[in-house]
Amino acid sequence: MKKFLAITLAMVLVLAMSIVGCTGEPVAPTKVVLGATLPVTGIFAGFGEQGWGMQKAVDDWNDTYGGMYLSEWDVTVPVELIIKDNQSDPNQVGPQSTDLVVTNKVDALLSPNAPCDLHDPTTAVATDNEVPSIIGGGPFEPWYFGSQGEVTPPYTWFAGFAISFPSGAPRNVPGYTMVDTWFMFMDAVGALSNTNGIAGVFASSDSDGTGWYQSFPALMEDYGLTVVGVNETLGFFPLTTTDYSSIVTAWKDANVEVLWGNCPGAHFGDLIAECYAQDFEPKICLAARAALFPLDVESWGTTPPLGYGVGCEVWWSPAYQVSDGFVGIGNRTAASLAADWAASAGNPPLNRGIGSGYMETQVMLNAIHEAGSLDGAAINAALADTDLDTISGWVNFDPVTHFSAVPLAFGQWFYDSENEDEPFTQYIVASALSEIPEEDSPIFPLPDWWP
Amino acid sequence: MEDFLVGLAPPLIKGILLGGLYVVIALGLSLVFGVMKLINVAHGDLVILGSYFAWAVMGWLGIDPFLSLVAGVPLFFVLGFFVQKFIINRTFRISLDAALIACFGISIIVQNLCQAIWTPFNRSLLTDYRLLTFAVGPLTIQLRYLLDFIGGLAVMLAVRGFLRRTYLGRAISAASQNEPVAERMGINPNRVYSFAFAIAMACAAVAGVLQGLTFSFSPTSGSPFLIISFGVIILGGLGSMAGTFIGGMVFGLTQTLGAYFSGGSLLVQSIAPYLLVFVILSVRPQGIFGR
Amino acid sequence: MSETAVLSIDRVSKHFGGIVAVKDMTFEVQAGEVLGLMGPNGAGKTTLLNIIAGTYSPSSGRVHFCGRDITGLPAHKLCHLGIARTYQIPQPFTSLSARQNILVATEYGGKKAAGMEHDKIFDLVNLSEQKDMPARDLATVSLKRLELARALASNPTLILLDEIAAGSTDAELPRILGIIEEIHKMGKTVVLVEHVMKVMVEAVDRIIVIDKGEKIAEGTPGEVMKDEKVIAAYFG
Ligand SMILES: Nc1ncnc2c1ncn2[C@@H]1O[C@H](COP(=O)(O)OP(=O)(O)O)[C@@H](O)[C@H]1O
Ligand SMILES: [Mg+2]
Repeated sequence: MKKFLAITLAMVLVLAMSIVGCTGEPVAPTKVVLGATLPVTGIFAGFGEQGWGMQKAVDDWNDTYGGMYLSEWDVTVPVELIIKDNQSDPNQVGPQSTDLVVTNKVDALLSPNAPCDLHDPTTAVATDNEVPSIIGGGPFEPWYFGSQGEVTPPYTWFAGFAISFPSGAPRNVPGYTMVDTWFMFMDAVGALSNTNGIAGVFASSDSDGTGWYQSFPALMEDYGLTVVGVNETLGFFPLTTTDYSSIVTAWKDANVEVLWGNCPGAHFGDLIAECYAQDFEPKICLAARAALFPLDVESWGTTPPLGYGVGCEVWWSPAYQVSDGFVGIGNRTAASLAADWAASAGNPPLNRGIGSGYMETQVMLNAIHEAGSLDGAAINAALADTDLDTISGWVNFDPVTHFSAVPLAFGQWFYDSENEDEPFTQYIVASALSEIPEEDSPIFPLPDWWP
Repeated sequence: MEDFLVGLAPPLIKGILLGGLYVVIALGLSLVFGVMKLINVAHGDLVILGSYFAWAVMGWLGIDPFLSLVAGVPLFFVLGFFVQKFIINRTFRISLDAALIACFGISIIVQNLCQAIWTPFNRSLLTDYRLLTFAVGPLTIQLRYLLDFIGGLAVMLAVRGFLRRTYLGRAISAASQNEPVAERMGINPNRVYSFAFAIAMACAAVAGVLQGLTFSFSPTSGSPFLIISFGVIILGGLGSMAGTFIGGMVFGLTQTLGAYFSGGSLLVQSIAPYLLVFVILSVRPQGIFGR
Repeated sequence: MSETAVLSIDRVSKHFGGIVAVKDMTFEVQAGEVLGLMGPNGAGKTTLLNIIAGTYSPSSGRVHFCGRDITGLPAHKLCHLGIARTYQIPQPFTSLSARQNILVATEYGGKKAAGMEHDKIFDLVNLSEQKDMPARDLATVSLKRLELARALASNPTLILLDEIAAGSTDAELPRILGIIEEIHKMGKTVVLVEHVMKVMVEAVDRIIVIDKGEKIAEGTPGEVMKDEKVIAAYFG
């Protein structure tokens, strides 16, 4: 009997409390929390350094405005960023995103410019929990067509580049797609007339590489190249591969002069070393993803400098500027962001991901400010209305695809044997946009490995 | 026919030479399993730790990776001895499962330690001679792969000779064959375990140098080599040093020949050895050399 | 416990789950004595040897060796103290040669200095011809001798012999008796488990008969053979 009374009493209490909770005055928020899951460690750690750019944007916002002004409450509260390390493991991205929403109660999610496995699961979490999210990079198609089909996830927005433009895209001018920049480079060096036009392709069997292998060989054929062994999936390899002798032999036998593909930097290092060891040197070598980050390029070695002349897409330039206005938060410019990075602990070489990280955070903060509220739907509506010059281009999302194209250029790695600390520097050698100036002329053919 | 043979020679040579690397990596795993029936799931990570050790010494002091083994092998030996003595032997008192879990723990710790000290980024042992090649008749041999083979053969012979001819080696052999009887003969199993793990770690130090000269590495790149080692051990037969050697050769050859006969397919290259592992397991579960 | 006892078993029992393999066993073995353990199959003889040699620790009771309590000590320590045993089913290290098998026993047996030379041991057990063969290639009879050789190589004070004559032909028995005699002459204490009556009768000073884990008789071979309980256990 006593027990029964106690239980009843407890139930009444809980009920009473929940009623009070419902009808009582809602409390003003004390902070704005953004959350991101990043490959801080693991094979994609180069992508994880975008977290620095994200944090920089949050710091800039707090420093400039003293926090986030929320008009709904008429309060200014500090902005916080929580970054979780998914260790480059796609299986951790979903659970970590959920954890950010459920446990850390983040108000918005940020996803990096990274292989799509590392941001796709966040989209589903954002949709399920009605938490707005921005993916800070591309390419756009694998995300749009791959994981979601034709329906755009309502709470996710994509500010990056495309492989080629989807129909009805917002900017129908060159300089926003991989196809543009790649072929701009190929045109610039006269690839079709100065090489035999025979191309070898390589790609890792993760979703990024698979998507690349499915779409790029056809585009290359359209451009006028002859691609070797696509029907036998020559050059398509599992991530456990370390020995590439068979494909290098096949390319060599087929007289390949253009080498083109997409894989992690570590794998490309072993691949290009095997090319060198077999005395197979193409005239052009384009390595999407692999050649993005200086530490990866350095790891391929300087005896000989295997990264010399290898090219890939470039997401961001410290020179980026529109007229002479500031494009970052407060008086932040692209140049000052790069300078702060260079002066940060360990004086790291430029990682162009910091621009992407900054940009998406900047867009999200702007939307929260416009919404003046932490309500998911309100922020989401503000994101739809975004019209903003950012540190990495003008962002306004397409209402159907949720895509906003940001500028893209093409870079090659230059080697300076005198510079022992940073022997490799990536310079932009092909750009269609005046905001991203070309920094050097293209390297063609690849510098002779064999003296 | 002649053309066929000329085409076949490079993958044959490559497979055998590459097999040498697999042998060195698998030896330590094989030894530990033979003696204490423990699958040391941290072995791949310990090999990578060996790569990092050589890399660090090269960076700080400019010492050649092979020369760094003069310090690396004893250091790893001592480290292995104490890891076994103070961690794994204690977990054995609970159960073999507890020891397996301890190995998982070591794996995670080593990976994170490498991340913390050397960053998650990709590295290679960038020696001047790393990518040298030389011609033997019509064939080109890559130095790094040749070193793998020589290293594999040398380490295998050294471990085998040690097990047969030394006081300690005989105790390890005896304990791995019949532990209760070995103990009855006065052999302290815990000491044998400690030495076996120490030797396995010393092998990992050598394996680390060879692997780092041949391929690039990062803190997480140990696990593929653990899986390859399983394959090598299954092919060669558990606990047999000569068997592990043959297993390594067979594994390497299956990879390169698989790729060769499929027109260069790296998917076939990665799957072929495991198909062979399945076949061997079904017709000769004790391995090619196992008894 | 008497002064000269090398081994003293004090109320020792051993259970395996529900099975009682050894029950409340008490006896002593004097220095230099050859004691025989007899009993039908499953009586608990091997289990008793395993307890003395440290393979099992007893469920209850104490075991003393040369005045020292050795209950529950691990086998390798007991080996170092001076207890050796042979196995009823030979357990060689198959990949090692006969000589290396013995080498292991000498090297790890603890008391290297005073031991017999290997060649003498091989001569004694008649294995000289085969000493460099891998143990896996030896016949069962040879393996039994290797067991003996290995036990001797560790230079024990107390040696436990588990059915070394089982499976031997009548022609071989004198040799086995000779070996036991030789070991006895070296001053070693022997506990012998044996079914072959001839060996029992000729080699031992005293017999203990065990049935269902319990001691049922004790005395000289002549006395024991006349005991009614023994006759009942064996023939009844
Ligand atoms: N490890 C064990 N687990 C369970 N039962 C055992 C074990 N060893 C012996 N026994 C049992 O103990 C009894 C005595 O066995 P044993 O000592 O081998 O007899 P003996 O050597 O006199 O023939 C038997 O019933 C046997 O089945
Ligand atoms: Mg018995």
